[in-house]
Amino acid sequence: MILKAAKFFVVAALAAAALAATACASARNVTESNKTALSRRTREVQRAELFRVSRGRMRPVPVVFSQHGIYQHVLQNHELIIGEHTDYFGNAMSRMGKFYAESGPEARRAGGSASMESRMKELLRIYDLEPALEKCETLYEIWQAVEESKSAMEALPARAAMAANAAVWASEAYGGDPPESVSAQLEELAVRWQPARNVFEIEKNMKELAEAYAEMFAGIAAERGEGVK
Amino acid sequence: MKKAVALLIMATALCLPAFAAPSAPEMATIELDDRAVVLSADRALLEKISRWAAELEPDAARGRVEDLIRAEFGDSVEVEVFETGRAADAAGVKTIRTTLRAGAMDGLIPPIEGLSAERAKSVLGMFGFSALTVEEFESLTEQGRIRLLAGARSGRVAVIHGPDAFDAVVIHLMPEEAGEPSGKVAE
Repeated sequence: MILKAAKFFVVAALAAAALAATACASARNVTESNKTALSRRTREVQRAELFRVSRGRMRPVPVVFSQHGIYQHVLQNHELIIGEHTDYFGNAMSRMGKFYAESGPEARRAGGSASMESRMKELLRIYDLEPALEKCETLYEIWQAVEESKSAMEALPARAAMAANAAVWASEAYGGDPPESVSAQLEELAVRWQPARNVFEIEKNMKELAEAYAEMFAGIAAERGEGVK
Repeated sequence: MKKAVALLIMATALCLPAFAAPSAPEMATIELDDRAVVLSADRALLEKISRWAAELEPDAARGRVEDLIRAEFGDSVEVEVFETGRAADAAGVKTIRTTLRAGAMDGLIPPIEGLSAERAKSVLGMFGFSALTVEEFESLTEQGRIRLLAGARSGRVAVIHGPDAFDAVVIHLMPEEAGEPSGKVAE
């Protein structure tokens, strides 16, 4: 009896582990490629930077925070950087899932770049560090690329909520059939995002975006001659 | 075999006090038309409170349900009063506190952040919302037509009132705060 129970628990544990491994397999691949890209690009850039500061002389392109702070962080903490970066991804995915699950059917039906599928694809694109790292020439730029990716993931659920709700309001304003010009504006706003590296830049971007949406609706109201009620 | 029996006896002896311990207080939520009340007390008392709450006159209890519970059942019951979305969904007078951005992101109001009061009103009017001044808002509050469930510390309030849920939405726009850049929604 005890043996049977033990066998059952082992099989259950193995099944759970296998399921968990399958569930995170797709995300894991991107995480691994991020990790590899970060290690490889850091090595390459480090060699170039060491060359620039050789013989005790600073060349025209200086190393920012040489030997300290960001420089050392990027060189030494690959696991930590990738771990944090992956946390942002998981957080953004869960917040977006929550939003689309809890928002009304109209918001879930929002099309184009405001749709859930499109947003999830965008999240994966932001999460993928490889293209951004390829363009980096210094360790500081590598750090910036990681921070920009993290900030974009942080802001994406809020952008998704704004875009989906704006699509619903626009649809309501035009009886379910907004004109092409309004749809184009919504599409443009849904993908609008300036690179941000910290919470202040995220807030600045979000404020500008919220105001742009408000301007759009003020324009619609003026066009339709809506007065104050 | 003997060892197993001994272990079983020891385990039973260790677990007995846990079974003998008095039951922990349970929690229950009473939803009224203007708020949700979370209570913590033993089961018998909770059942008594539930029966009492079912007979509660909503108008008489509005805004002072915590005091009424304490007066009726004493201090042995823990009471927390919340203003929740669920409570706000119920019929009757209700208020949802939010900011312009959070309200827009939750789909409660259209995006009006950064617009002047006049332009914000035209957007709100397009969707059948009423935009009130502070004076109008306070007048309605005094008349009992709008009841603020909690202090509007955040400054900007979306108020939902009417006989049915989401019958009408009133956006209460506070005057521009000192030091804030112009262009914000103001009275």
